[in-house]
Amino acid sequence: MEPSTLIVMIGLFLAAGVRLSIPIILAALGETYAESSGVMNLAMEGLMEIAALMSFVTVFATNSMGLGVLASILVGGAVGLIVAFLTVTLRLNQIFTGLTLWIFGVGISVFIYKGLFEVTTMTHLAVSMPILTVPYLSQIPIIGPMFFSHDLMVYLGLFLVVVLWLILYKTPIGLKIRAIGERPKVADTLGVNVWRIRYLCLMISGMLGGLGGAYVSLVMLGFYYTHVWKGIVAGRGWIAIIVTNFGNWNPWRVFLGALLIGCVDAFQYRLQTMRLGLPTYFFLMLPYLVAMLLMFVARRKFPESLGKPYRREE
Amino acid sequence: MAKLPSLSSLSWIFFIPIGFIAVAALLSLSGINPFKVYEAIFIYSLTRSEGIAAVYLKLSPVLLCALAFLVAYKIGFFNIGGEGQLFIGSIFAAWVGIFIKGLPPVIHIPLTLGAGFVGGALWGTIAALAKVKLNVNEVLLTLLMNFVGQNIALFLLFGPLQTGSMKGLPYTDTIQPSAFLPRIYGRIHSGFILVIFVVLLLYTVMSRTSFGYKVRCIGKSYKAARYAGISTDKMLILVVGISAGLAGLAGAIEVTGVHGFTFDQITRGFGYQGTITALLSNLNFLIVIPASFLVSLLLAAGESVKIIAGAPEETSHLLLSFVLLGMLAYFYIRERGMR
Repeated sequence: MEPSTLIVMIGLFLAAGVRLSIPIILAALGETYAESSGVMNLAMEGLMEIAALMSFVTVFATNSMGLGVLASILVGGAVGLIVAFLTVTLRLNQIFTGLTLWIFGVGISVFIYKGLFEVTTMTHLAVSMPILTVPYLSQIPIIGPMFFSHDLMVYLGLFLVVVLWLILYKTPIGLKIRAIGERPKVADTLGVNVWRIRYLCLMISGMLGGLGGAYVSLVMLGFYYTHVWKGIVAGRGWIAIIVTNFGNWNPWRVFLGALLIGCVDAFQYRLQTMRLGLPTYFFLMLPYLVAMLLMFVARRKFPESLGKPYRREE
Repeated sequence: MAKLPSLSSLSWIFFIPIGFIAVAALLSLSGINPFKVYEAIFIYSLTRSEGIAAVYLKLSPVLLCALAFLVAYKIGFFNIGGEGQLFIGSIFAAWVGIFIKGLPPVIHIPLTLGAGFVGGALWGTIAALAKVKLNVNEVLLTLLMNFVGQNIALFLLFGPLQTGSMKGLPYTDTIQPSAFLPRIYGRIHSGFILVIFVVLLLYTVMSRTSFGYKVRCIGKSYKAARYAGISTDKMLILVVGISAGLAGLAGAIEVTGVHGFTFDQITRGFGYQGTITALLSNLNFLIVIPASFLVSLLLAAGESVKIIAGAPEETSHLLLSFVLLGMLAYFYIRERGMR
C-alpha cells in the first residue's frame, strides 16, 4: 500500500471515530457539569433516549434539522430539571432516581413512537444534517478529515469541549460549581447558592445529553426503530458517565476518553467488513469492553460530595 | 427482623395506584379508553387459560432476577447486571443440556439448572472482584457487563452449540429430553415451585442465620463490619456471586422449562424487569413475590392490551415506569417521616 493511500485511510478512519464519539462527548460533558456540582445524573441514558425520539419526531413533522436540535435541547433540559427536583430539592437517592428515570425514558419513548407511527419497522427521515467542509483546513492530511470535514453538530460538539472547559476551569462560576461539588457547606457559607447552581448544572447536563441523543437519531442513524431495553442510544449514556469518571471531570480528558471509544467503535465497523471469520457479536462488544477497561484504569478521585444531597442544618 | 412485615410498613402499597391513575390520564389524552386497557390487563389475563399461562411463564424469570438485585442489595451492592447474567446462564445450561447424554432426568435436570447458576455466578463474580479490588462503581460496571455479556453469549451461541439445521440462525440445538423440566399442565412447567423454594430459603437465611446477619451488617456499613472482624471482601464476592447465580438460574429455567434451547431474545428485559420488581417490593424478600406477580401481569398483558383496547403493547412498560415513579414519592415521604 502506498504511503499516501494509507494517510488518506487513517484520516477517514479517525474522522469516523470523531463522528461516532460525538454523542458520547456531548453527554459526557453534561455529566461532567452535573458531577462537578456534586450530583450524579444516572438518568443520562433514559434522557438521551427521550431526546432522541422527540428530536426525531420534530424533524419528521417539520423537515427542519434546526427545530429538531432545538427540541432535543428543550426536552433534555426539562428532564434535567426533573432530575434536579428529585435529587436536589427532594434529596432522593441519586441511584434510585437515575434508574427510575432511565426506565421511564425507555418506556415512554417506545410508547410514544408506537403511538405516533403505528409501525413496527424503521421510519426514515427525509432530510439530513448539513455538512460543512472548511476550505483549505480540510486539505491537511489526517487533521483535515478528522476535524474540518463534518456535519454542523460535530463542530458544535468540538466547540463545546473548549467553551465548557473554559467555563469550568477559568471562570468564577466554574469555581463555584467545583466548590459545591467538593465542600457545599463552605461554599454556602461564602454566599454561593448551592441549590441554584446544582439546578443549573443538571439542566445543562440534560441539554447536552439531549443533544447527544439527537445526534444518534438525526445524524448517525437518520431513522428510528424500537428495541425495548437497549433503545437506539444503546448504552452510550452509561458509557458517557464512565468516560466522565475516566476523564477526571476535566472536559479535555473527557473528550479524549470519548474519542477513544468512538475510534474503537469505528475500528470494529472496519473489522466487521474484513471477513475475519469471527461472528459480528465479537466486534460489537469491543466499545463496551474498552469502556469497561477505562473503568478499571480510571483514577477514583471523586468530587467529595458526589452523591450526597445537601441540606442546611437548621 | 424475622417478623412478618407489619401493617405500617405496607403503606407503600397505596402509592402503586398513583402510577395507574397517571397512565390512565395519559391514555385518555391520546384517545384510548383507559378502562378497556385495565380490563385487558386484569380481567382478560386472569380469566383465560392462555392469559394465565402467559403470566405464569413471566413469573419465574422476573422473580429470580428481582432476587438477583435484592440479595446483592442487602450487602450494599447494586447488581443491575441480571440481563447479562441470565443470558450467560442460559448458555451454560444449554451446553450441559445438549452435550451430556444418557443421564436419567433426576440427575440431568439439577445438573443443567446448576450449570445455569454457575454461569451467571461466574459472570457476576467478575463485577464483585472489580468492586473489591478496584472500588469501581458497580452500577455502571454491571450495566456495561450486560452489553458485553450479551455479545459474548451470542458469540458462544453461534459456535459449537449449533449443528446442521440451526446454522446461521440465532438458536441453539434443542436440549436432550432428559433435561426438560416436567410440565404440570399445558405450557406450565414445574420451575416456579423451585423458585418459591429459593425465595423461602433466602428469606430464612437472610433473616434467621448468622450468615444473613453478617450480610446485613456489611450492607449497613462496610467499614464497621470490617472492624467487627467480618471478612467483608470475601462475603461480598460470595453474596454477589450467589445473586448473579440466581439470574443465571432464571436463564436455565427458561431453557429447560419454556423453550428447550437458548436464543438471541431469551432475556427480553427480564434482568431490568427484575430490578424494577425489587424496587417495587420495597426491597423486601416476601413482598417480592406479589410484586413480581404484578410485574408479570403487566408484561404478559401487552398482547391483549393491543387487541382489546387498541393501545400499544408498550403500555405495560409505561405503566411500570409510572408505578416506579410513584414508589419514588413513597421513598420521599418515608425519608422525611424518619427525620
